[in-house]
Amino acid sequence: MKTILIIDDNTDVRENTAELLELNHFRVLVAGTVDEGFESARKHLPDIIICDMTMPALRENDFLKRLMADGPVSNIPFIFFSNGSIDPGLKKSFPKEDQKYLIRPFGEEDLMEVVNKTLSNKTGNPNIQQRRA
Amino acid sequence: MVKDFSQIDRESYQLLVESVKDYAIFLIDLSGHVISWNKGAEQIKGYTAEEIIGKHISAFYTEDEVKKNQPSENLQKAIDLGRYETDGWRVRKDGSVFWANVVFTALKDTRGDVIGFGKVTRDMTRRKKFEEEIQLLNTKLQSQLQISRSETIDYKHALDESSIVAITDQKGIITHVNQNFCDISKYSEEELIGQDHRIINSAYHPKEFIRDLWVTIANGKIWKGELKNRAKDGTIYWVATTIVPFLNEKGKPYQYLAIRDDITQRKIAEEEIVRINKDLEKKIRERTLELTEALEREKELSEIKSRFVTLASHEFRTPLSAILSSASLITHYKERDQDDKRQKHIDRIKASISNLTDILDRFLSLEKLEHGKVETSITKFNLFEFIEDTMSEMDGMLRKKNQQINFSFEGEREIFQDKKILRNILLNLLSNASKYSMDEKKIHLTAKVSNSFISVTIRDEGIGIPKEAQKNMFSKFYRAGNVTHIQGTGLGLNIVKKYVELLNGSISFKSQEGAGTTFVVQFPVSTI
Repeated sequence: MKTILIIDDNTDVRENTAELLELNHFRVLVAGTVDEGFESARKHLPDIIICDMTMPALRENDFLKRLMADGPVSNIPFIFFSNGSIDPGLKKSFPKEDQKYLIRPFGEEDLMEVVNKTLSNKTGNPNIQQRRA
Repeated sequence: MVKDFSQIDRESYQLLVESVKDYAIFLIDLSGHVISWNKGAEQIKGYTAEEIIGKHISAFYTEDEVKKNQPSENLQKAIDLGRYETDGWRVRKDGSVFWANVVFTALKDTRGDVIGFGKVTRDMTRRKKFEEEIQLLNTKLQSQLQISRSETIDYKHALDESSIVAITDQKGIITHVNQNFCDISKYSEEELIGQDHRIINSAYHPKEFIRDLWVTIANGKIWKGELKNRAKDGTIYWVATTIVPFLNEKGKPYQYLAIRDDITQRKIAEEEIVRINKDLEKKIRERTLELTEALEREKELSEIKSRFVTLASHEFRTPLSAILSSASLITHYKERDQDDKRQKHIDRIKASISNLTDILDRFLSLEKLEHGKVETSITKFNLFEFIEDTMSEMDGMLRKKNQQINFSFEGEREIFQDKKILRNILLNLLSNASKYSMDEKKIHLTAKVSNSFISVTIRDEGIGIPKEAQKNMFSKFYRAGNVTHIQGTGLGLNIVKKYVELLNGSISFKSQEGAGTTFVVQFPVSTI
């Protein structure tokens, strides 16, 4: 069973997403702040980290820089929840190829599609695509 | 005549008479014949004594005069008057004529009978020539003078016609003015002559200016400049002036001729241009200010709009996400025993929709407030009960976080106010107090009603407002740095402030980050 870590400061979205993933047979860890998220990531080394890109704390903490610096964590694929626009500053501090985004609001199908694609990429499948909800 | 002067004898007299060269002095008998001659007579008339003695005096007269019997008449006049002087032409021996002054004296014997005549003749030719020359010169002079005078009159006429002319004596008293002067100054000639020229003074020019003028002309120099004068009716006129001093033989001015040209129109035009320019500049400044302000407002508006778009986008998407994911989850819970799970998500959906509606409402009420579409409707009600009712609306929200409101009331309970607006204000401030406080924290609400105003204080033990954020708290869409993780539109306080102002009240707050915030709303007691 794969593990997914969700980092989102909005309770409703966090809990719902966790529930959806659990119903789709994933083990889910949640964090309400970036610091909690970082700790959890280091401790449990999940297969995927889903992170809310619109949290201001993301920029303030150099969270992503720290992630990149931390060896094992830096290898974990990220999926970002976004509002449609992508902060160029973020891209700079987190330069990953084939970065996936989920634009809110997203449906269950979109969520699962992106998660599965990410997992396959991890195992070498080159098929990458981004879909709007 | 030989009189009784015993000292001088007859011979001496004879000698005297004979020797005199400048005057012809001779005797004539009763019939008019020459009986004596002297050197002067010889010189003047050309005859020697031998040639003329015994001849009639008519030899000395012109043919015309002899014809007119002039000689005899002269003699007769001498007899009648005793002495007769006349001027006339006399003929010389060589026939040339000369102008003579002649005096006939009747000689009488002791009895008084005329026995003969004494004659003195003077050659006046030279004098006459001089006289004639003088006459000629005079005539010439007269005519030249006439020409000069006539030219002067023409000049004067030209001057009078073309310009405004005035003459003052050396003390500045007006001695002459022309018609143009009277026309422009609106004084009559009588009113001006004998007046000091200051009669037309307008008090416009500084003392130094006037002093300089006088010094210049008193020193015999011509002064040119522009003067502002005052007419009899108080109106103003401008003149381009030339003042010419007339100098006497000592080189000192004895009178001043002032020649002026009316430049009032030009001056008025100049002043008008200056005024228009100033006006224009002022208008430009005002316009620039207006435009700058409008630009500022535009920028502000554009900023606000883009802030709103960002915020709205974010704020809308979050509840929408919750709704969509909750809806997806409901389809998973189909079993009877999953009722509670279904219910949880249905509640979640409802709450999110409520959120969205709230955001929309806030924005709309802001629109309404800004366009002055909100009207107050004052009613009488019990403020104590009203606040209690409002607090109960907060129950749901407070229960979730296990929070409590402490309420205290002071003063008269019945008041006149707009219930709807007051409710909006209170709910907004209370929900803020709850939202931005941790679980289990208390909120303190105090209401005071006095004779003149009502004040409501809401104090929380929440996260407080950072110092640098405090000045922006009532700005539209503003959210302090420490609340980005808490849902909010940034419109609440902006709206509250506008509502408070509708009640003619005021709102203020005190806050310390980490220690809590206190909001105070005050408004005057409404009287209908």
